[in-house]
Amino acid sequence: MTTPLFKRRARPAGFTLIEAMIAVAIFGITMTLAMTYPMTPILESTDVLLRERARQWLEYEADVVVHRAKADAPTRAALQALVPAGQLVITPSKNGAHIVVQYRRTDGRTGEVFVDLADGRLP
Amino acid sequence: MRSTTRRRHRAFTLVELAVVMAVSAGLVPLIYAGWRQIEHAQVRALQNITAATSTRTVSEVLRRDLSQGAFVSGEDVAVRLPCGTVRYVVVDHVLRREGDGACGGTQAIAQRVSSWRRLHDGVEMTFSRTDGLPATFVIAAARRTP
Repeated sequence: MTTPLFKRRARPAGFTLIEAMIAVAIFGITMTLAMTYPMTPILESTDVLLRERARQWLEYEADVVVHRAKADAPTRAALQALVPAGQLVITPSKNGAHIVVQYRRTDGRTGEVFVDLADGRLP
Repeated sequence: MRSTTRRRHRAFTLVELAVVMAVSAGLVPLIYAGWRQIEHAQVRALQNITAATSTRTVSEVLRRDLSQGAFVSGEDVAVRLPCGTVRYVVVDHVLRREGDGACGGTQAIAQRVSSWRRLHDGVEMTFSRTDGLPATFVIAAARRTP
């Protein structure tokens, strides 16, 4: 009968601390991804929606400038009400005006749409 | 000398299998709920983008008409053009532009429209969504009063 030259050491039962930490880390990363992934398309599409509302407001204000029309206050209020933290900035320039509509995006940052009116014409 | 301890069989015990099945049974509803949440998020995102795209389409059609004509007073949403009068009506949640043949005939320009009403310088349009949160837009065009 032969005896092994090196006897294999008996492995202790149970997980080691490293193994447990790796398992917890993988679980945590997976849960984080699982919780944030469903919100990503909603937030991105909501930004598309907010941007379109801001564009509508911008086009109305550009119309007012180009056609030298009188802005209707309720219409303007309705446009502004749909844009969160919406702000309108009109800067007259030599050949027209620079119109900016700012809004708050879903990530909290400020988004903006703008138009440069040269010679009073829409580009 | 032979050891008197019994050698343990390398297989799962009934208790271990029961624990695994209990954990699996707890995880399956969670995974299903997460999957449904992802599906709802995708549908809602698609409806947001569809609403924004439809608003752009309606805006361009309405602005083109208003560049050649003006709102008809007294009517819900109608524009008087050189070719005739076109009316914007919602039928079965579809926004239609109705006019004579010379004005382009009748065409559907937006779907899932739940409400559509006239403002002084434009219209307010609301799209219905499956989550019950409506998406509202205002389309307006300012023209100098002749």
